[in-house]
Amino acid sequence: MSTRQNLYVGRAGQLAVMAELLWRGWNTALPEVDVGDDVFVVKDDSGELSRVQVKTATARAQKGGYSATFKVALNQLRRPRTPDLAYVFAIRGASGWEPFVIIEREALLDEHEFQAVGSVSQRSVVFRFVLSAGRLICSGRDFTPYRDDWSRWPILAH
Amino acid sequence: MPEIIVDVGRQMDGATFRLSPKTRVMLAGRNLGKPLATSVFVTFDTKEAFERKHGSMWNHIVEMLTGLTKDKIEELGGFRFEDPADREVLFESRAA
Repeated sequence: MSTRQNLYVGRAGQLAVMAELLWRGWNTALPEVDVGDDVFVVKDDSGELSRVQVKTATARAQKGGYSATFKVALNQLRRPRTPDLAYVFAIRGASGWEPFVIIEREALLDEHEFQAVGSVSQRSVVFRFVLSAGRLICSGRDFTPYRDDWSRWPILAH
Repeated sequence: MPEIIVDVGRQMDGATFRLSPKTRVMLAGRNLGKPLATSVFVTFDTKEAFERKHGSMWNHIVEMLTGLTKDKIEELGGFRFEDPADREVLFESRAA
């Protein structure tokens, strides 16, 4: 995929995640200066802020499912911040967006550190998700519970 | 070598402190301490003002993150503050 195509795909994933968050009643904003956060998520009435990093990939069809590969900067994965980061992995399937994979930075770091999830390549960790028989697997670990786990941003009534 | 490692995420106006994953698991595995917080954020201004009056903040941060007493922390070999991205040591206690 060309670099320009990557930009289009990346922005599409970012906007899809923002659309879902808005639908759930959370306000979203894009930082004017890119310092590693993709989206700020704000609860209007309290000002509660979350940082979201969206990673987007196009699914590669496989028998009974798909695979999708993502690269996460090791620095970003390791460094704690306030508020801390959540990753949302957006996978574009043949007929639309697959369920988003939502995982807090620390949970993903624990998977990497203790369960050897992902492989280190240069200064990044490469995660390959495989959906098969309804289960989402990454390096042998079951990531199904992270699919569409929007519990951090429950639906708000305005 | 200290067993307690605190990861430091430096931000524009301060820093976030959090136990390294291995330290967190080690303490939980030995059923040591009851952390008062999973992470602590301190602005540079607050740190400077605090330390002018009360001395170093490092011990207090470790006590909050681990829930351990100063003596127990020393028993475990002290502590070290690191940048988790490159493992640069930012501070190491003398007990180590």
